[in-house]
Amino acid sequence: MSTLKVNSIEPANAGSEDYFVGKAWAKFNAASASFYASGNMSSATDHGVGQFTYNFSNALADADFSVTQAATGPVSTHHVHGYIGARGSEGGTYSSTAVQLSYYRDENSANIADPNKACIQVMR
Amino acid sequence: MNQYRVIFEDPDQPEAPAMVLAPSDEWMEMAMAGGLPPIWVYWQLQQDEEQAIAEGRHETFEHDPEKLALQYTAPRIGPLTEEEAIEYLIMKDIPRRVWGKEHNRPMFKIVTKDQVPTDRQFRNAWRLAA
Repeated sequence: MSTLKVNSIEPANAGSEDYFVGKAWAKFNAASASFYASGNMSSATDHGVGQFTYNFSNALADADFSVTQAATGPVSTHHVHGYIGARGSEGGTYSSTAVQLSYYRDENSANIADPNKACIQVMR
Repeated sequence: MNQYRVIFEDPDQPEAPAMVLAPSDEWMEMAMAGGLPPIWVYWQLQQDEEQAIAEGRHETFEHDPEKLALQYTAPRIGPLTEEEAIEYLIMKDIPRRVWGKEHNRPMFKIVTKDQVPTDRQFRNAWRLAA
């Protein structure tokens, strides 16, 4: 299999939208604190129930990236949602090398929870 | 799947429960295949960003392009054993204040995955045993 290496991708036609690529991703089992799979992720730090920091293998150019995430609990009555930051605050790590996400049950944001599947995508 | 975890406590957060560092299988595979740059490549990037945060200019901070490129262009350090890879990961992803200075008690421990409790009911009460 051949490998394509480029430093930038531009549209062939002037006026077309730019291309953006994913910089990191992970599918993570927060309940067991283990990865299903990942890309440009070296590790995850389990801070406690519902709080995880995802550490990038290689740093991004800066912290101006977009992170999207999705999560689910073990059963239909246990939906889990994630948000960027540490528990109970808008702080937490958001740097060129890592991002912290917290998870809670949908019936009450005070009920922190560990999702069975936590998916994260980083774009820049 | 890799078999090691690192349990550590942060001296800056004495009331926080013990934390667990879980490596990704893809990163471990790359480390054991010899795909890593010298650790100082990551250290200098971290240092630059920490300095920017301390000086209140993180919002406009951008890494030096040459330092950033070293992640990919610096000569590789060669294949690591799984144990060496975990030690490398500690120095890369765990704050230096945990492993880089003497404390009056152990602040981190490398364990096997089996040694980490699977029952998370009391997860927020976990502490690193002396």
